[in-house]
Amino acid sequence: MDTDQNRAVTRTFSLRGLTSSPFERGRTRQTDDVSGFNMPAPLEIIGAHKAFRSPEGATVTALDNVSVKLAQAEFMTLLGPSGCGKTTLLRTISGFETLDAGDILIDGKEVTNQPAFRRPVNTVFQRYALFDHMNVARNVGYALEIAGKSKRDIQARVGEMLELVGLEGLGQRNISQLSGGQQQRVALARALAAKPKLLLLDEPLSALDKNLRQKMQQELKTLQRELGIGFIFVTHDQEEALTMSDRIAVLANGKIQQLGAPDALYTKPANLFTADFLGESNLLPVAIERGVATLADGQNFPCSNESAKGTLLLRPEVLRRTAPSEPSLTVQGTVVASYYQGKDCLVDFESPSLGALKANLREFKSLPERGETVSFYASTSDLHVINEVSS
Amino acid sequence: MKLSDRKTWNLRALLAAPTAFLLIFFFGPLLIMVVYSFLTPGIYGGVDWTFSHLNYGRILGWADTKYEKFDPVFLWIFLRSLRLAALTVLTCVLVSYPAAFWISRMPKARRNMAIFLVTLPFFVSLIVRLFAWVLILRPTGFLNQGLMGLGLTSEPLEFLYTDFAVIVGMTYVFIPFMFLPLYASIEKLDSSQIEASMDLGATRFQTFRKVVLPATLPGIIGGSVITFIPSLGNFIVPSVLGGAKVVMIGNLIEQQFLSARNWPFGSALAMLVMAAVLCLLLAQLKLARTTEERA
Amino acid sequence: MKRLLSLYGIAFFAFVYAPILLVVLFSFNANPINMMIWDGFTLDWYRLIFGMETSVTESSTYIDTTPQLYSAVRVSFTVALTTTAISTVFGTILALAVARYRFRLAGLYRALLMVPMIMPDIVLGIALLIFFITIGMNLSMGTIIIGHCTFLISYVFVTVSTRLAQLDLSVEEASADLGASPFQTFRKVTLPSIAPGVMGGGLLAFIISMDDLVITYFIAGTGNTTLPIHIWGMLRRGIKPEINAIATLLLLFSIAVAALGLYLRSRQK
Repeated sequence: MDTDQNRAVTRTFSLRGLTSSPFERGRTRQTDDVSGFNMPAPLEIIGAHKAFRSPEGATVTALDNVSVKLAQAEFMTLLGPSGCGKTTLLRTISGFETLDAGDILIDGKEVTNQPAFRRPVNTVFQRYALFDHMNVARNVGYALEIAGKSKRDIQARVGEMLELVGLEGLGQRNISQLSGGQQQRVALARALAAKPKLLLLDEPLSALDKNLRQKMQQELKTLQRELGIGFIFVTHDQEEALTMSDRIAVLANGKIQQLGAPDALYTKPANLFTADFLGESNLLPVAIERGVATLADGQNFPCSNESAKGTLLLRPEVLRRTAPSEPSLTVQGTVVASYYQGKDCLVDFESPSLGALKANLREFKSLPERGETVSFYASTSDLHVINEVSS
Repeated sequence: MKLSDRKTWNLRALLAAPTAFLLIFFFGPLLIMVVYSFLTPGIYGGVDWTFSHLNYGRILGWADTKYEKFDPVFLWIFLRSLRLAALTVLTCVLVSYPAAFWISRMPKARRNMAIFLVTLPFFVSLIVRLFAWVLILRPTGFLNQGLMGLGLTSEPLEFLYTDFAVIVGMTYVFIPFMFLPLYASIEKLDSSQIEASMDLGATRFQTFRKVVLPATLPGIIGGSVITFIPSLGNFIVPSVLGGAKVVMIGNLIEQQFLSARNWPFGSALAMLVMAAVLCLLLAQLKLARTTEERA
Repeated sequence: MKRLLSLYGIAFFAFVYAPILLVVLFSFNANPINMMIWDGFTLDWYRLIFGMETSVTESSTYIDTTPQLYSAVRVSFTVALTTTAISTVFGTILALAVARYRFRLAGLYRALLMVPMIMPDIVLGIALLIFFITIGMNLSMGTIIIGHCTFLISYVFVTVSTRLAQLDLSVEEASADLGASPFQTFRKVTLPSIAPGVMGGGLLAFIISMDDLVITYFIAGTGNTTLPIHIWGMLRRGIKPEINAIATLLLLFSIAVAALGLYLRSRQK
């Protein structure tokens, strides 16, 4: 009974519609303080566990004790390599997969064993999954048609949604007459038409070409702020994740490796997987003793980590050719190869004491040549030590 | 109820009726036929429910009792049927291959039309198509009139009621069966492969033998199998175009059921056809596996 | 080389169509004795079929076959329509179950449903005959319908499965995601999407059922002559010009059904 009421509430929409300006309705982000509004979290997953049987008969753990809580109006990205469990997690939220153990709460209500059609969330599918026997308007209005809305209400809402995604006047088109980008927008409008509590996006931009993808990234982000609902976005594209998210959950082997804001994840990864998966990295083992970390070549720098051993993350772009005034590390080596990339250049070099390294130079007069001996400097404030050693 | 349980119940409810239907009315009859082939024929038709292997013995050689004797004629008819079916397959390949090649090189719109035209006769009543060949092949038929008109022969030749007529008839009937798999494999062949082969110095014939033929072999095999199976057990074509002279295994089986009334023996003959079909399918499966492994 | 191939192609189509066209042509030939000699245009053979006045003498016709012909047409249609209905429903259900649910027996179903299609029809025909007699079922129109369904379910299964394979599975999930119950999803998304396959399978089943000779021959019993068996019987009694007209009408009908199938398919795209 509870679920039916819930459904009725969430499928009701007012004709107030959406404001046309993205600024009028902008909400402040509530990234960390979920309870601040005294509202239940739009989504809470507690101890989710899910295993599959592979065709060969082996058991594959897709979700291993995953817990996560979404803040109001948060844009969260599930990021990870293929097979990490991010799509499975999304599908358990939408209701296409059931958990072996654990609970899912949407807006404070338990939905763990509810089928997909009773859950107040909607999905934008990877390949859009548009109904090609219906025109654009019927696709967009589908959820409202199912909910038994009047023709007039549906028409009005479809009009609003098409305007929202910039497809005014295309309602009567067939799906096959649309470009990939337009289909993407129809899928988005369709998923938003019934005012879901939460929008799930399963790699929705992967089929678009690069320019369009970047444009859609910005549009999606703007749209999400404007609507003020939670977005859960699945991608394997780290740049996309860094650009759009309030928080990113990095997944690997069915576990959340790290959950945090993009800049925190990038500059201060908690483990080697996150450090390696996000961006380019030089990872150097260090020994830590009494607040001082020592590299293999004997250089040291202050470090607050508790463990005895760790790994120094040295992002290629923190390396500079000129020594800074503050305390810094120095790495020397012979250039193996260098690549001109327009706004910057990439240098692969070999240090006798630290091994193969890379540097990314923003400012350079000439490209370092192969065989040239080079020195790079990194100020100690740019260094981050991970409490983990690669095996 | 958990979602997964609900799904299982939905599935069971869906599958129940058609599964029961097929188990009873398709696999049931096959099973009974197998049983029948091991029963003793009654003296005045019908069966005695006692086990007997002599139905097979009559065909394969070990039967030697008062009523049940081995007769090589059954094996001979079976081998003859194999031969006629093989010849039908061969003719079908030879007739269809160049046509499929020709059509595959047409512009797209015309290509679809051409394929439709090749498959259309499949939808035309079998008996009508065979009747057409009776009109052509009989002594006063179209072919003889033509030959005599051209002065190639002074009196009508016997075309109807010969092996030739049966092979022509079966080829005609089974062309769509051969054409479609052939066409599918030929169409997949990129014409730049042919150009590459010629570019590397191969003649037309060498290109065909080394590039085109190997690439389209799966189509040839697939088409051959699905043409061979209905040809082997056919009894309509030989009875319309072959008359009483061309007896195939299908005719023999029919006789056991409708005139000789020896159902167990007829069942044993049908099992022989099934065995041949099964061997063929297993061979095809094995061949497909080995080509897959090589690739 | 190209010209040679084109020339061959034309010869190929001549081989495929000449016999059929010959039948059509002969059906208008007034010569009652020798069909090969053109003796002027006539519609008499058609008039004969429809029981109208003709100038045809009795020696050049099959005696008293018109009522039997009508009865054969009636039996054929009844069998084909019933068979089509049953096998379309069953075949579609099986295709949906196998494509939509991951279950251990799915592979087995797919393999076993191929068996009726590759079974030589004489084997199936006698197996059904033995079965019906053994369980004491009288041969009737019902047994013909059952017999046809046993293999036509597979044809529908394959046609619908092909269509299902082309479909993106996620449209059904999208529908559920947007609030549609399984039944609503089936009615609004699944069924319209597979409709071309279902219709194609149904038409195929109809045509094959109308045309089946071998299996029907074994399980029809007396008094349930279908059209193909009726024509076969006429052929055995000797060739009279009237059969050309019947064949032509049947031909027109088959082509009309095939064209309808093609039209439906093109409209769905």
